[in-house]
Amino acid sequence: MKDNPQWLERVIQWAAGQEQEGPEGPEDPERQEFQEYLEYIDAHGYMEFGAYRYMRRRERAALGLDAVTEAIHNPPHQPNPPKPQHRPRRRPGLLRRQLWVYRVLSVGVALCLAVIFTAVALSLPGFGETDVPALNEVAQRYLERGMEETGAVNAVTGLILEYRAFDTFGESAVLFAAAVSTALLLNAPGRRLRNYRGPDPVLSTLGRSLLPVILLFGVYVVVNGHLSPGGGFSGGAVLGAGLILASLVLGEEEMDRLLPQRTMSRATTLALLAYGLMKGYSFFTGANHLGGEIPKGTPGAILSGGLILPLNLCVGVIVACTMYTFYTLFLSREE
Amino acid sequence: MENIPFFSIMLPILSAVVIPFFSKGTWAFQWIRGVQLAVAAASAALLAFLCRAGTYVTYQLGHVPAPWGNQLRAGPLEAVLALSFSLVMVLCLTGGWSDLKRDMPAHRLGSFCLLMQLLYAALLAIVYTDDLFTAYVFVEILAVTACVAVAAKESGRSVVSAIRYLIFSCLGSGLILLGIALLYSITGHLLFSGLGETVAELQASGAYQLPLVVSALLMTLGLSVKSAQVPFHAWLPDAHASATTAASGVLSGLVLKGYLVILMKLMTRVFGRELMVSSHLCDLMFFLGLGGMLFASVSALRQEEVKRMIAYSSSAQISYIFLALGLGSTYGMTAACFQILAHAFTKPMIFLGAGAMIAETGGHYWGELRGAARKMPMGGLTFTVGGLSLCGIPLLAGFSAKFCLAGAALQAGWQMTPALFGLAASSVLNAMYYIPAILVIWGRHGSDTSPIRFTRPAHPQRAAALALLLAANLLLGTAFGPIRTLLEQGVALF
Amino acid sequence: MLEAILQQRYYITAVLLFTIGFVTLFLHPNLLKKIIGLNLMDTAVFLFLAAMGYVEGGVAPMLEEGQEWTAYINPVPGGLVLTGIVVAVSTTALFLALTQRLYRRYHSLNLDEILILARSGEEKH
Repeated sequence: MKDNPQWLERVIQWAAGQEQEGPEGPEDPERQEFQEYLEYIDAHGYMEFGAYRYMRRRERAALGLDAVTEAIHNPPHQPNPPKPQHRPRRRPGLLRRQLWVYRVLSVGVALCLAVIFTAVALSLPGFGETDVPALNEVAQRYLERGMEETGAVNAVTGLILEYRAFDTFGESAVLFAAAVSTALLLNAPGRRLRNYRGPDPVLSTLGRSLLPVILLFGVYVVVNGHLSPGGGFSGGAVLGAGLILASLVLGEEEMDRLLPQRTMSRATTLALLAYGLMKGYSFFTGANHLGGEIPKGTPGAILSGGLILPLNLCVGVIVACTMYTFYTLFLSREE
Repeated sequence: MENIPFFSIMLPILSAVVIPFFSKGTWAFQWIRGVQLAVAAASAALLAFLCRAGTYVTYQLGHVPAPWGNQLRAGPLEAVLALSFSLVMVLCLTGGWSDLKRDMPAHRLGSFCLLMQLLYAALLAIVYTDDLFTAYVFVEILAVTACVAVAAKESGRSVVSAIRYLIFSCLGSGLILLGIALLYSITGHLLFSGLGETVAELQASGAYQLPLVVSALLMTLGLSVKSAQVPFHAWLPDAHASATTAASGVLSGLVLKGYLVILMKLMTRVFGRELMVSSHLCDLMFFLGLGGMLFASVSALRQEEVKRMIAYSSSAQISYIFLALGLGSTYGMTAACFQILAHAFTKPMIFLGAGAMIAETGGHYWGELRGAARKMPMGGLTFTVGGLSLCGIPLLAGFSAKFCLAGAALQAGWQMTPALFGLAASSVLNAMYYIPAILVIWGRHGSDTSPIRFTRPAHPQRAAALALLLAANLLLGTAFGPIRTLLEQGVALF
Repeated sequence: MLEAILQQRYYITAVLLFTIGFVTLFLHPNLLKKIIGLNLMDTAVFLFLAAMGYVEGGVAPMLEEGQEWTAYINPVPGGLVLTGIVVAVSTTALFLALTQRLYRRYHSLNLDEILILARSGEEKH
C-alpha cells in the first residue's frame, strides 16, 4: 500500500469505511466546518431526540469530539442532568437508512414523473401547429371580436381585464394577501432600518441618471397597456424595481420620509378597492343586462378601452407598492 | 336572487380590503363577523329559493356570455355549503376570539381578521365558481391565508409548521396548475361546462386519452396533497396543532373541505364519473381513503398531545370523504356531502372545546388535562359530544354521516365489503382514542373532591358559540331525512 | 421518435425543468434551495403554457383591423401565465418571509436542523 499515491490510499480507506484523519485533517476547511456545526448542535442541546442522537454520536466518535460533547452534556456544576423527555427507542442507524430510502424514493418518483410527462408531451398536439384543440371558438372570438368588445388593441390585456377580469381580481387579491401576510410576519413594532452607510459613488451616479428613465418607462408601460405589449403587471413590476433602486440610491431613511410604509399600504388598499368597485359595477350591470357600458372609444387612442385604462392603473399601483413593500420588509431587522 | 352568489364573494373581499383603515382589531372583528352573518342570511334565502324552484342559477360575470366570459353557478348544494361554511366561520371566530387575543399581539389582530376574511371569500368563490382557472386562483388565496393563519401565533414551532404546510401546499398547487395546463391544451376550455362537453367528445373519439387521464390524476393528487389525504398528510398535525384555536377550527373544518369541493366539481362536471371509474382514479381514491381511515386513526391513538390527536382525527375524517367519492356513485357523492357538513360542524366544536380546556388548565398533554372538564363544563361537554359523534353514537352528526356512507357502500359492487369493514374498524379506533380522552377530562385530579363547577362562563361569546355548534351537531344527527333529501337534490343539480 | 421529440422540444424542456425542480424540492434540506426548486417547477409550467400558445408564423396578439384571426398566437395561455407568475411571486414572498422568521430564531436555513431544534423542547407552545 505504500506505493499508492496518497489520495488513492484515502479513497481505499474511505471505501472500506475506515477513513482516518488525513495529514491535513483539522486544516481541511470542510471538516472544520462540520466540526463547528456539530459543536453548535451540541451546544444547543437537541441531541436528546430519538435516533438522531445515535447518528450524531457515531459521527462524533469518528471525529473524536466526545470530550467536547461530554463537557457539554455533563457540565461539572450539574452532576445529575435531567432525563431527556424523548427516550431513544429506535435502533441506531435507522434514521440514516430512512433518509437513504427517502432520497431514493424521491429520485424514483421524479424519474417516474419525467417518463410519464415525456410520454404525455409526445402525445400532445404538436408545437406550433394551427389545428390544435386550444385554438377553438373561444380563442377565435377573443382575436376576432376582441377589439370591438373590449376596445383594447392588446388582446392579452383585453382578455385579462375584460373577459376574465374575475381571475385578475383574485390575482390582485393574492398579491394583497401576500403583502399583508409578509407585513404580519416581519413587521415587528420595534423594527429598525438598516444602518445606511451612504451610497456607492458608482451606484449613486448611475442610479440618479437611470431612475427617471426607469420610472417614466414604468408609467408608459402601465398607461399603454391596452395599446402595446405590457400592462399593469409588467409596468407595475418596472415601477417597483425603480422604487427599489431609488431606495438604494437615496437611502432607506430618505425613502421612508418620502414614501412611508403607511402611504404604500393605503395606496394598495385604495387601488384594490377601486378595482373591486369598478369591476363590480361592470359585472353587476353585465349580469343583470342593465346596459351601463363604459364607452369604448376608438381602439388605438390612449383614452379607449372603457375601464381597461383605469384598471391597469390600479393594478400598476398594487404591483409597484407590493414589490417595494416586500423589499423594505425583507430589509428590516428585528432588534 | 341571482345576485346573491356574486355579492357573497365580492362583499367579503371588499370588506377585507377596507380593514387597514380600522384602527382597532376589535372593530375589524365585529365588521367581518357582521359581513359573514349577512352572507349567511343571504345564502339561506338563496337556498330556500333554489329548493323551491328546484333548479340552479348561473351568473354571467361581465358583459360577455359564458363560453368566453367567466361565470358563477349556484345550485342547492352550493347554497348549503355556503351557508354552513359561513356559519362555521362565524362560530369559529367567535369561539376562538378570547384565545386569539391571548395568542397574538394587539396590533396584529386587524391583519389576522383581514386574512381570515379573504380566506372566507376564497372559500365562497371556490364553492360558487364555474371556471377551473378561477378555482385555481382562489385556491392560492386559500393556501396563502391558511398558511399565515398557522404562522400568526407567536412561536417558533408554528412558523416551522407553517413552512412545511406551505411547501406541501405549493407542491399541490404546482400539480394542479400542470393538470389545468394539460387539460387546456387538449380541450381549449377553462369553464367547467365547456370542459365537460369537450372531454366527453374526446372520450367518444378516443383521442388524447393519455393526457386526459394524466391531467385528471395530477389534479386529484394535487387536491389530495392539499386536503391532507393520508400519504400526503405529513404537514397536517403540526400545522393544526400549533395554530391558535380559531385557526385550527377553520383549517380543519373548512379549508380542507374547500379543496374537496373542487374535486367533486371536477368529478361531476368535467371528467364525468365514467372516466373516473374506467381510468381507475375512483379506485385510487377509494384505496387512499380506506388506507387513510385506518392509518390516521392508528396514528391518532399514539398522540399524547390533545390538538395533535384531534388533527390526526381530521385526516381520518377526510379519508371518509375520499372513500365516499371513490365509490363513484351518486349515493357516494351524497354521503361525501353529508360527511363534509358533519365534519365541518363537529371538528371546530372539538377544537374549540379542547381550546377552552387548554386555556383553563394551561396544559397541552393528556396528563395535564386530567379533570379539566370539571373546571370547564361547557368545553368538556362539547368535546365529549364531538368525540362521541365521531365514534358514531346515534342521534349525533357523525352517526348520520356514517350511516349515509354505509348506505352508499351497500349500493356499490365489490367495494361494499372493504368499505363496510373500514367503516367499522375506524369507528372502533375512533372510540379507542376518544373515549379514554373523555374519561380523562371528566376524571378527578388526585384527591380533589370538588364538584363540577357550573359558574357563569368567563367568556360568554365562546360559550354561546359552543352551544350553537352543539345544537347544529344534534340537528344534523336528528334531522337526517330532510338533510339527506336536500343533499340528494343538490347532488342531482350539481 | 426523434422527430417527435424535436418537434415537442419545448414541452420536453419543460418536463426536464419540472423534474429538476421536483428533485431539488425534495432533496435539499436548505430552505432557499427548496424555494428555488418550487420556482423551477412553476417556471416549467409557464414554459409549457407559453409554448402551447404558439402558432407557426403567428405574431403577438396586437390586433389590427382586417387581419385574419389565425395570424396571431393564442392569447389565452399568455393571460394564464401572467396570472400564474403573480401567484408564484406571492407564494415566494410568503415563503421567504417565513424563512427569514425562522432564520432570526434558529440561525439556520437547514429545515431538518430547524425541525429538530423546534422539537427539542426549547419551547412547546
